[in-house]
Amino acid sequence: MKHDIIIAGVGGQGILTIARVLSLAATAKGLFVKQAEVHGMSQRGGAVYSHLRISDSEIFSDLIPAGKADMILAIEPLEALRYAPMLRQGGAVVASTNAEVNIPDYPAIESVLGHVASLGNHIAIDMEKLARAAGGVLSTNVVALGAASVFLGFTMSELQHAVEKLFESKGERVVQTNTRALRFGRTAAVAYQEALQRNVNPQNARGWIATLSAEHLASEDDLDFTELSNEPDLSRLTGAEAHAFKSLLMTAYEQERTQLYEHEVYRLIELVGAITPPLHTFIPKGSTIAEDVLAHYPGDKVVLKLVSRKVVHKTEAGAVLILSKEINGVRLEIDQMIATHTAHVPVAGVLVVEFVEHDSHGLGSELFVGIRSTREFGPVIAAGLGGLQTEYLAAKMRPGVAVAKAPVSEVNADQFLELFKETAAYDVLAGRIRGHKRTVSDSELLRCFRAFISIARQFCIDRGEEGPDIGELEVNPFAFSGERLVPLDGRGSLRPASNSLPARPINPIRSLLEPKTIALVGVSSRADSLSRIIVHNILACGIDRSRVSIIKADSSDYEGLPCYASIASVPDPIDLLVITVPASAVASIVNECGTSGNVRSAIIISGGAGESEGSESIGDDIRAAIQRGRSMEGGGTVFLGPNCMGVRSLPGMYDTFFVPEDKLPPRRSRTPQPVAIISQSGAFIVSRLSSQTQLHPRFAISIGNQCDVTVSDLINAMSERDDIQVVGVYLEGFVNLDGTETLHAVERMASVGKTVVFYKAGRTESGRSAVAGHTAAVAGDYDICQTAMRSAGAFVVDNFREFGQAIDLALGLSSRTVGEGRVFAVTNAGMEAVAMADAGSRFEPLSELLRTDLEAILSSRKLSGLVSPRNPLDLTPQANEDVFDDVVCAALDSEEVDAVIISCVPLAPGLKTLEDTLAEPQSFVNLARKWLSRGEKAVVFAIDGGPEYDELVSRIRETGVPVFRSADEAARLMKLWVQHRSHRL
Amino acid sequence: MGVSLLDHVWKNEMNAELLLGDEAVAWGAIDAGIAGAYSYAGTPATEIFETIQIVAPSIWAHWSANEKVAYEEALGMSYVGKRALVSMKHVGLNVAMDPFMSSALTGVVGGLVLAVGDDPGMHSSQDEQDSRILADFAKVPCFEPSNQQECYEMTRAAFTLSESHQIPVMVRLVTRLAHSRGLVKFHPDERARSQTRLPLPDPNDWTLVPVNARRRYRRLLALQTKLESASEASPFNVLHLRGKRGIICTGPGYNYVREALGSEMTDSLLRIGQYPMPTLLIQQIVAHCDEIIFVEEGYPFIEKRLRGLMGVPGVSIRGKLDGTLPFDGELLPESVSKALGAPAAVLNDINPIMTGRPPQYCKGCPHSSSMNALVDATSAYEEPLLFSDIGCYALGIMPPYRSVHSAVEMGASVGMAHGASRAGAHPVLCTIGDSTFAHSGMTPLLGAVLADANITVLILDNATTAMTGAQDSMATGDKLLEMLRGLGVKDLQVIDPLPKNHASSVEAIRKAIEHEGLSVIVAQRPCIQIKPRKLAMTLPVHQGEQ
Repeated sequence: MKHDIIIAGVGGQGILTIARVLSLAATAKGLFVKQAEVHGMSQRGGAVYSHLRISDSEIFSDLIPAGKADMILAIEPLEALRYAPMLRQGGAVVASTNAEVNIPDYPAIESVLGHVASLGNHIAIDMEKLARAAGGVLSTNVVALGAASVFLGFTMSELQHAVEKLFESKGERVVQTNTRALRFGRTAAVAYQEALQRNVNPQNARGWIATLSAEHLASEDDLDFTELSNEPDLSRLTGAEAHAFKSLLMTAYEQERTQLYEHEVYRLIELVGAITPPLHTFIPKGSTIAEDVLAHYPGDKVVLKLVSRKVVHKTEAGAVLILSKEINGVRLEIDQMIATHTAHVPVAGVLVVEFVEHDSHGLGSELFVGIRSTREFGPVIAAGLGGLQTEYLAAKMRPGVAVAKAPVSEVNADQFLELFKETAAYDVLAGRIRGHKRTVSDSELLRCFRAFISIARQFCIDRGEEGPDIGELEVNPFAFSGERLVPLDGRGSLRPASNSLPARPINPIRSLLEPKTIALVGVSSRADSLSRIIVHNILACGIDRSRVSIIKADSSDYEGLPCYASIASVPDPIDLLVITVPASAVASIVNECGTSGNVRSAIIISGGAGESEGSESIGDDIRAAIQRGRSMEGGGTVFLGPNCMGVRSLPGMYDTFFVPEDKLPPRRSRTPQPVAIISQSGAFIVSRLSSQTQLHPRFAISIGNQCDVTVSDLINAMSERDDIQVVGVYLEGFVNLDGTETLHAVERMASVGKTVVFYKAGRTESGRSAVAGHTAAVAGDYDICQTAMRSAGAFVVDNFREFGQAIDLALGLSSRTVGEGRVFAVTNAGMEAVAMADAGSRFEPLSELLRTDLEAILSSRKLSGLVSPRNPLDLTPQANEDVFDDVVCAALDSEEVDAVIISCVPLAPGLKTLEDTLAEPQSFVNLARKWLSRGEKAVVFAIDGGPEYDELVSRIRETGVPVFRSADEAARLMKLWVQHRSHRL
Repeated sequence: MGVSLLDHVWKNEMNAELLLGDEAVAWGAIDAGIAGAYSYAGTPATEIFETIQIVAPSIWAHWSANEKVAYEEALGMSYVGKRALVSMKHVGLNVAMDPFMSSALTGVVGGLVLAVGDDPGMHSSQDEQDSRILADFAKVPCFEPSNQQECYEMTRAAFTLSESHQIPVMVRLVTRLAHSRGLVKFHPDERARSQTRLPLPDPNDWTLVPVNARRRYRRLLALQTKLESASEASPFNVLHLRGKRGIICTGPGYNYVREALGSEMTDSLLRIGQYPMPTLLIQQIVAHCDEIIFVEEGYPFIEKRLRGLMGVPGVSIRGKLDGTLPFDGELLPESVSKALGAPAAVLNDINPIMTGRPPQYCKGCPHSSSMNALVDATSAYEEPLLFSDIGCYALGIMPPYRSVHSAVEMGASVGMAHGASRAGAHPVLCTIGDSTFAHSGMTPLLGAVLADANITVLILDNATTAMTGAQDSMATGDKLLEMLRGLGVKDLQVIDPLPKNHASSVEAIRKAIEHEGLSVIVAQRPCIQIKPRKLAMTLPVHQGEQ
């Protein structure tokens, strides 16, 4: 038996432990051992190695002669290559794929692993991941040993015995972890060898091994190879790439940089997507380019680019130079570029980049792709027309046309490619417009998107102790060469990503909506106090007084309600606690909720609790108190607010809105609509209720600062209620990552046939600054919110008026079809016909069939000469309800119409539009009922008239048909509705 | 440190251990019954002393301020009749040269063994000098082991020889052996020796005023014949006369010869492990052979002597002097194999994508912040001179810092800075570590203080001797500041080298530069390796190997 093994790694990886275990195993068998080590200066992050010689005959040299090693065992792939000349022909290589990238010129990992594989008899696996599975990365070296065991003349029990002996002084847990690590390494190596035997390529073999669970890894005998395939899975980074990636981020972080340099961005995208950047060399300040390095550059020109954390837009800063590839000139310009800029900005060095000849077709022939982490939606991806025009085009073109964007939690690469295909950028790149030929293939785009999405999902998130998070990473532009993407500039930044709070329990939220018992704390005796109005309003809802109690230390009675000194002293469990104490006292009340365990839900009405300047510490106190409760069994109390008006719940029979009844009549006699309004602004709710009188929601909820209960929680609560069909949301901002939760809540609503009408206020955005990149500019928080909400199935509106109309429309049309979205409109006024056409609904030209039908109707009603059959159809003021009826019925029966807008100027003399004629059989009110029952198509009215016609409007509304008060609004909203519904389909 | 050491209990068992060459020397000294071990840390010799520190708590073993001090302390222990080991790296012996030379004249009472680690190939050193020449220069015996067992045996033998001839004895190792493990079997020990004192010497023998020194030198000269006889008879000098080609080898050179030629040797072989060189044995092999190939680790010491000016008529002498083996660098099995004409192995090419991985500052190293501050504080000057010294901070020569303009030998930075400023250079700064300062920086600083040299001395106080593995430092923390004030330093600032303090550190350095006269800045922050080392006791083994 003879084993000459080179054990290699980077200082600190524990290669001597491997040597020691093998030495112990060897001496236990009475074999000879020699083992040369490296000590001293070379250990400091540098390459380290050990020569281990095991033999049954005497060994002389401490060193293995070159070309005679039986094995290279490396905990780092580049270190495996370093000793290639030591390996004998036919020798074995066992290497971890986890790159330790602590040098600036670390070669591309694929290339390193490719060369390792080319050494022949090899095993290259993600040893760090295996070690983690075994119990900790510290055991990576023992994983390596386990993997090497397939080539060694030791039994597993001999090796295990040596591991136990070496680690016994460290305790049972360490021994167990390392025993597992040994076993996992062995199993993975056996699996890897078997996979290669089956002609699976190394990368896929590693991908498959990465899916093996600890149970699989525990025994090499029960491996199931059915899942093994040669299909590449690029959706995740393999260990080697992930490791290299993390090291690079860590390097920037340790240099206290928040900006990534261009070559680092190249490196990152190269790691994940095999997107090959142009040849480039980073020349640190104080050094210069070597002659033979420059000679490697193709062509006769090179590009110099300044590398500085402060210079983002290099061209504008005069930090880019194209020059001829002549060594002295290049060196001179490098020095000059550094010298010129050093006076103004910190300079790291100069990047010497290959000059790339690329296909250029003027405007829009470059691509921009970027990702960024957003506070509300987590990581997002954006892609669009690249180059200097990116922001300009994004600002000037219709949303979705210049730039495709989406949260990466909601799309995969294929879906994002579909989104991208809707942009003008794709039209240009795919050669769909005149004068352009295709410059990039779909598969190349897909690969690129996959790479960026993969980075975003893994690194634009809160990684905790794992290392710094990517704030933004983009390539702008990509140019194209032979349908391949060539990155020409890149930038990135590090920024801690948001993390989300623990989820709120759902049961207490149900209690919040329909409490059986209510207690109030902080009520004041003053007649005009908010708290007193709240008490009055609650009692006025008709709630049984025995279910209401007051917490007030110094009284025994408040308005005839029982008073208790503290929360804990209330005998029954409190389903809902309404808190109106001063802001400074809120935190202690929240704590009391926790300690008493007696409160299921609470509304914090109090303001001045963190949302305004100077009250941040109070806000922090409240948050901390809430989170303390959250860690209790059952999740503790849920809190709505602070700084809110609370809830008006018709099913729960309570109302904490502190609006006196005479200012906002409660309309208790009316039937409630299956509607909930959730608003960050209480004022928004009360003014909607006041001005859009048709609104009578079952729930109106003012959510305030969302310190605890968030908008997504409430939408989720509504999605499970049978008495709610539509939820209207007014929002200024999401709490951390609740945007994503809300998207999911909206999807849940849509999946059960319910509608969320969504209005987002606040277009001024966070994340924009002088150094912010293109991604933030073209895919800001607001843009992302609009786009993503729409995609998730929300009915997104742009202003207050539309908000109410959209709720009406959603209520009236949610059970009706939209077909292909072909709208037919009929009116009695020419101006309305024109206005509706302008407003953009899809008014298809009439087919011969429908035209013939309409002509027959017009002729029978003696309107032939006066009215020409077209869409929208202007019946003229002479038309009465009968004509409308004939036309609408024909439209509803026609296969080429999916929805009908009936618009009328009610002032036409022949119409029964005043209150006293509404009961007549052919009034619009009765016709509305008739039309509704004629199939499933959408029917809406537009009645453009004054208060005299309010009764007509409200009577039509009672039939369930939505009514607008002007024709153009009806056409516009119908257009939005059709778009919304088609998105959902 | 190795687990095998920690597991090796303080008892004498006749079993084998897998030991480093350094550890084997330490065990040889322990088993020889030393009462004290003395050293200043230096690769590759550090682990000799550290082993004794760890496994033999009853032996006095504390780091000395420098090698000269270490040698003198050991000599003092010998004076009173106890055995002492002093260990150092090759360039450390340059520092200790004065007491070393003198001790050859005084002689010793208790056995005194000097273990020196040479560093051919300069793995972690500034030159590759060969200490056998210094033993020859001082006219003291030298042992040169070729494997770990011999490290143990020769150290034991060195103490015996030292005491029997009242002469200090050198054991010379090279990096490859010092840092390589092999099996070592132990002999019955003489640890009890540490309890006995030999009678005190005649003070006249130890007081080297000229009249005494002349007498003692004659005694040393007279001793040479006896020492040479001992070499001729030594079991470590082995001659096999076989073929007409002869090989003379020393140290690990023997291993490579055996590796290349296997057990079926047809060549004549003289293996030398004990000096003064065995003249008769050499004469025998040369007489027998018509070709002699020298395989010596280090300088062509014996080869040069044999070749002389005239060579040996009729004998072809090959080795480093004629290029049969490379003069520089350490011996390698393949270079020896080639020299001996053995068939060469087929080698894989060096991969074209291969790139170097030089050592670098550890993540979070305070030196990196100090160097950054130094760069920014001096960037506005046309020609700042940044002298540096021996320690991790010399890594500042690499990008992005490039803030080291010299690293010559221990303590050189301060004196060189003083010299440069006298020639009119400005600004002149130097960086020196706390341990290097204690070793050799204080005396030049004293001179600079008295002359009020217009220089800025930046002492990088990381509270340890970091590069050799975090040994205790003698001049750190408040004590260092007191020492500086005691030396007369007036313009003294303290900075905390953290990235967040960058601006204030830069400001402090600028201020010191602008100060007319001597300024000292102490950058205080412990080496980040210290903490992990302490934690290593509770963590898996390889944590401790950082």
